[in-house]
Amino acid sequence: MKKKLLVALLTVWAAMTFTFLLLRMMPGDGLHDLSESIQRAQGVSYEQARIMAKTLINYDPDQPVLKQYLIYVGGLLHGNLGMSLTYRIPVTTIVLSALPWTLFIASLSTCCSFLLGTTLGLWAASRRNSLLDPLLTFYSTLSQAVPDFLLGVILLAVFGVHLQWLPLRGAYGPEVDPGFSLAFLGQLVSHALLPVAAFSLPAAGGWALNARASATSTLGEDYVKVARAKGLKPWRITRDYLGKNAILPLLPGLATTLGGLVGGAMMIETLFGYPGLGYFLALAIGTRDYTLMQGLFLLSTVAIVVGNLAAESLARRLDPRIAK
Amino acid sequence: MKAFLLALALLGTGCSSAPLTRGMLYTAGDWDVPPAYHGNPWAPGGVGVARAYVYEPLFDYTPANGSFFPRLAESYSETPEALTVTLRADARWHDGEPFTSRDVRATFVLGFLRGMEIWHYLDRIETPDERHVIFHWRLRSPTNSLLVLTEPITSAYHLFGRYVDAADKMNRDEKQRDFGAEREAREVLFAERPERPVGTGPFRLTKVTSADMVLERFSGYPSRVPIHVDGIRVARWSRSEAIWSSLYAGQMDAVSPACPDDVAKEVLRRNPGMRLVLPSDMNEMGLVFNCRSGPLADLRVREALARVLDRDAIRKLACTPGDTSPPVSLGIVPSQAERWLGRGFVSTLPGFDHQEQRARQLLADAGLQRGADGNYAGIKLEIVSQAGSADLALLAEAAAAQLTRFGVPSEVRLLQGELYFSSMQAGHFQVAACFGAQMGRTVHAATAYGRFFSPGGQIEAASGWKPPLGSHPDKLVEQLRMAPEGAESRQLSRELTRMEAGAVRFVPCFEKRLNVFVADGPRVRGWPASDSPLWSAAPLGVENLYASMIARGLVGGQP
Repeated sequence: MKKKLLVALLTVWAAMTFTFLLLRMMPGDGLHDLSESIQRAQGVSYEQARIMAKTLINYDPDQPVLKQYLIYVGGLLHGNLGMSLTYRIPVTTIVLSALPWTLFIASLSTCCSFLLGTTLGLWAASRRNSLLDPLLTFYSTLSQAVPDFLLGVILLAVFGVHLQWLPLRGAYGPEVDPGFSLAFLGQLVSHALLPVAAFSLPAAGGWALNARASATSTLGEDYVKVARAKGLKPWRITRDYLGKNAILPLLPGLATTLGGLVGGAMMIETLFGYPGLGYFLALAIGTRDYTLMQGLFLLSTVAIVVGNLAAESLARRLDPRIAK
Repeated sequence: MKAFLLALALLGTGCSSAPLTRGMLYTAGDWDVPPAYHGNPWAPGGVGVARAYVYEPLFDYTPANGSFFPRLAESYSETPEALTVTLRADARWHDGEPFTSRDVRATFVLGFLRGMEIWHYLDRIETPDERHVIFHWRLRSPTNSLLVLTEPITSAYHLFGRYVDAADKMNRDEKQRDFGAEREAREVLFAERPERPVGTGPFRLTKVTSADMVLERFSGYPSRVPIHVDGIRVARWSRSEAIWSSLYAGQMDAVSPACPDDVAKEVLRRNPGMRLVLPSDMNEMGLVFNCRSGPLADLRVREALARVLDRDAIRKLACTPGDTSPPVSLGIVPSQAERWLGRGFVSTLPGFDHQEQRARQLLADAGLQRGADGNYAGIKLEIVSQAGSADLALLAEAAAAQLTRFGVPSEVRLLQGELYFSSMQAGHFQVAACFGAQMGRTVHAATAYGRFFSPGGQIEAASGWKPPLGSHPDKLVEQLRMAPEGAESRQLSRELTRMEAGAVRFVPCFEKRLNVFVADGPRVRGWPASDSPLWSAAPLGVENLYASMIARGLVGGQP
């Protein structure tokens, strides 16, 4: 496990360094907008405005890249992700405010898609050669082909604009204050429904196919035959004998998916105005906010690496053969 | 089952809590989302769209008839040397403190630190008592009073006093300014980050989230007329498509998004109480040529390309409600031409109408020959446009299609905002779709000409065009800024327009019109008729105009 941890740390370092370099190769200049606005507002020359902008946000893109890199890594080791070029507040503050929303929506989406997908998959496996089988294949193919943001637009148009059943944007309405009240929890649920559906419906198709394949291979096992011979009801066989064993190999994938979602929900969060990490990432890209982008990419990398580690650890616990 | 019922109950609670309250104005705007949001009007980011509702100026200005509507002031009087403003006695800040002349002074003194334009002309501000403020001019300009009277008063002395006192100690003389000390003072001011802004306006900010902003009526607002709007709910302007969706769903009472004609029609069809007001945006859109090198350095080639373009067809695609520009760049917005240039002057200028035969002749004169494929050899254009700006992108697309059809292969390249502006400023482009003339807050010709002739003006910097030797158009712009409106300003404007017309560096396509959707519906009603002069203030800040209409008692939840 120590070796795995070391590899994970190296992966994070390599990704962080790569991201750092890649961002500096992007066309454009994060200081330009700020310098121009200072120049306009204060009537100073562009050069003066640029010096003032650097001082204001404590960031200098004109320094040698190596020096910038050393400053960045030094800051990281002290838990300092730098100051956002756009908002002039610590990146850590933004990350800490956005992370709970992303965790909420990502975990809810992963659970929903997993439950829906595996239920459909098991059901189809236990009723092979019925109409359900081709229907499931059709749904899975369709859901894999439709990107989640496109589905998000469709859901928004139908349920938000036409039917007006669900809110169009945000994480909760302005009528309520955050807290443990029924009204706030209700707002959380209603605002999360469309983004969660946009994540879950396409992902459920993939889980369904995997669950069906896994369950089909389990169908021929002796313990299933014995259960049938004992005269157990089909739903009980599906739930207790087929389900538990078929789902087991899928669980590690769940951790990986969750890690991926924490890092990359930009399109959906932007579409629904959901104030998670992806939402801020989209804003940061739009304004060339290098420091914020770096912080968010780093978090995304860490989430995926941790997800993979968790998946591996889970797989070892669930199946002792892997550990051996 | 219990869990299912609980989830259903929660969902019901969440879905049912979106009230369509009578007396609440639903609109859209932008702000930095929490945790970045703060209530310091001077620090970067700032208070966002709440500025229009939380603060108010001394007067609201209507450009169409030049009238002033009193807000924080009661009256004003002018001499050539000074402007004296009498403030109303009953105004209060949202925290209950009385509003006085010290607050007006505080706003302008802090404005100095942020480069407020008026300080170019202003010598000092005197406050003889709590109700009077006297602005003494250093330089006289016809726009001085307008700049002062329409400036939102944002800085309560009891909140910002220590920064004001520090700024007061600085030398404001252009030649003796200490930029280092100013920078330090600014940084201290920027570090002040109250949670919410405190103003004197008709609304107090009560809540900000990433998606919504809520303001409620300030009970201590001393209105001259009854105000019928109880609060304002603002949706954050993330993408135009989201605003169109909200409009279509009837969740907006007043909003001004650029949108294609068919979208506007569909929104109006779905919402019978809604109408579209189309005031001029006081700006012009078109194409700027980079005259530094290559074929575009040749005046004949630029004139030829101008003649290839069918401006009316471009306008129909990019901004249907707009007005097609005359076939020559005036340097000012066409609707303001008569005011500044006099009647009939534009017809005396050389025009570059859509004439393909003439264009071919000009290209031949410039030595460009058509190849076997019908395309001109040695000229291939890339038109850059700003990504996310639908009208500019459509303008570029239409122009590229027309040029390509003519035989000048052209492609469009969309650049993200910051990259678009820096490419233009550095001259790293051939042709760019952009704003040309813009009249600005004072609707003054000098502002528009400044974009074409003043050093660093957007078109001046982008085009790289050099004025004829011995001419100094930037100085003419400065003279125009100081000249009283009349014969002198007309003569200067004509001279600048003649120079701009001859340069052929900017091809104007259309004068833009704003799409202001307003709904007389269940929440608010009473929007002025579409031909009301009040709408002429829309380009100065459409949210300020909504606030002004509310303060005048026109718009509200009354039956």
